[in-house]
Amino acid sequence: MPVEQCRAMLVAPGLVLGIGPFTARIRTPIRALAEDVRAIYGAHEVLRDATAVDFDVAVRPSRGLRGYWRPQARFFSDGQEPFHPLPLDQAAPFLEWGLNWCIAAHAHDLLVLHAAVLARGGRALLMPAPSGSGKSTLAAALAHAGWRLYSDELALIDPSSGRVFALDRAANLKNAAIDLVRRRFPKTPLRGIARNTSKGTVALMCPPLEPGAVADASEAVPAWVILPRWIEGAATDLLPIGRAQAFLQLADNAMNYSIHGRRGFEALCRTVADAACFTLIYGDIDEAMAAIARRTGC
Amino acid sequence: MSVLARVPAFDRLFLVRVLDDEAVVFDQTSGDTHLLSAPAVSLLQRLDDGARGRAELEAGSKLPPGEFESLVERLAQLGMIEVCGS
Repeated sequence: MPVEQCRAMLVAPGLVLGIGPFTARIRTPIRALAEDVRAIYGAHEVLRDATAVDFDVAVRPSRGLRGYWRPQARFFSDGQEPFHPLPLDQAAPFLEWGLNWCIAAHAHDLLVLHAAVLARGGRALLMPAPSGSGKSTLAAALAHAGWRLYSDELALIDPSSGRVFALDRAANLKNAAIDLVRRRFPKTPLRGIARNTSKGTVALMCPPLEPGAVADASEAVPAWVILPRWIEGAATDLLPIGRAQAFLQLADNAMNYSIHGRRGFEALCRTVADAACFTLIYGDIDEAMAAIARRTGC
Repeated sequence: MSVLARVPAFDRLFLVRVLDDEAVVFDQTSGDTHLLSAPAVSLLQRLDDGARGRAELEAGSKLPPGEFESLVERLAQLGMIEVCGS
């Protein structure tokens, strides 16, 4: 889509995108954010005739004094403002964080986990872990090694089928991970680079997909669960763990496990039952990738 | 003689899924999920057919002294087993 057309749609009536199993209407008058949205969601389907959507979000600049002095961006979901404003140069990560919040807060027909997900040949690799575990860096690297990046933040498991939905979201890189991706994959666009955020410097790595490649909601069967932990200078250690231990880690990282009750328990049992489960300690990305390739055969 | 037994309606109260030699348990009353060690799984399996004597179960568990007591206490706290007699 030409940039001017994208910009015009984002101003009004809004750009409606298919993002995995969801539809989202995005609105913004912020020109720089429009270019980021076009780059990040260039592979996603634009739904021109959509009327009802799952998430109706907007990022708008603050008005009044804050429009000029230390300008700010405000995030809205269905007209409500769930967060305090952030500096205007954080508009792109703010939109991504806001969309994540929409999914985590509302998608209770699915089991939502804080996890990176990649897929290959219809099989999914889940990496549940808290922030700072190195899962985004690993996900970004795997996305350049033949894996399809579903998300570096959210795993969506359908409790009925046990399958994982693709979101095809940008990877949220922080600090040293940004330099690592720039060095290793210089052609990969990084958007929405913002400094001095609460997480340090952040950047969004566009998923390496051809424009228009995401035409429908893809799914994959969980085949591997890896619990990553990055430790500076550590030797790489990818060790099998029991499925019960992996289950607990998945449950700990599930945002709405308690809401699902028995259904969530059975969904996670199913997830680990057919998956090979490992812990991964790593300090070197190449070693980690090689270890994963050996274990997954991919 | 002390006897151990699974609580009445165990199968209605708890969902147990054995994964490898451990198990995860969903407490349908509280909504809590618990991890059971291999000895705990083994003990519950031995109680599957009915109550058994504590001494017999302890001897069969092959756990070090004191650990069987801790295991029994833990399962009783979770409401999975009950101790009858003295």
